[in-house]
Amino acid sequence: MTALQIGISAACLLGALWLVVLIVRDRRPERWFLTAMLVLELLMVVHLVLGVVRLTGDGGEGVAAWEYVGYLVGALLIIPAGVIWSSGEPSRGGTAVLLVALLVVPFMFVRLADIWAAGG
Amino acid sequence: MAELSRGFGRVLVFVYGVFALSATGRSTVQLLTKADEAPVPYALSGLAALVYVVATVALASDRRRLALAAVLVEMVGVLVVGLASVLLPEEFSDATVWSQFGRGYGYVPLVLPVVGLWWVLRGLPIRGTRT
Repeated sequence: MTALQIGISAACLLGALWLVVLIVRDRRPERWFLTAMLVLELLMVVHLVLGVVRLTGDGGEGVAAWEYVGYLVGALLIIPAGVIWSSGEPSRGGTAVLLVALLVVPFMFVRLADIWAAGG
Repeated sequence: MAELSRGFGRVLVFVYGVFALSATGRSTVQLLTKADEAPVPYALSGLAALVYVVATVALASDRRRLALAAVLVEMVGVLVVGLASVLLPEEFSDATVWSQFGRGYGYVPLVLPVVGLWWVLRGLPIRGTRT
């Protein structure tokens, strides 16, 4: 994984831990948490751009381009999708949606690294 | 009767949605770029994608019977494809969502239909008194 991916993954796992605490205590995330998720999403945009640049540069020739771009775009969409889908649900279920979204991101990074390794 | 997409259903629909998207994306790439390489697993990938899409829509729109059908097909699919991929590995040169009982996805595809079935059947009367 790249340094950016490791950093984002660490943030996702920290956020996921906090959400577990909130779910156990039956609380909803506060405003600052959603702001942090927005910052995370901006980093995902940077991640997408860097990923495409990396793909078109040296060493990216053998990589399955469609799969790689698919996971880059999917990783970009998962956090907004989770925030939107959880917003109408003021229960533990809504908070758990955010938890799933945060856990899917590192999983997609692992997939990206696998696809890269298979073609590089 | 409580809506299927409220409470715990909210997160269940989201997980189904993630699988619907990822299975659709995967099978589209497989069918468009290398359909002739391994037709059986790629057709099964397409079937899996369809099942996840139907299950997601049915759960999100509270169609209990359709959701039940989709979840049952999903359960049969992951068990049959999982078993077939273990017994006949030469037929499964490329992975589907359901290969090796969903090992590539942390076995979530194996657990998901069980949870889905529980959620859809929850609260239903055992003897069918229709409402």
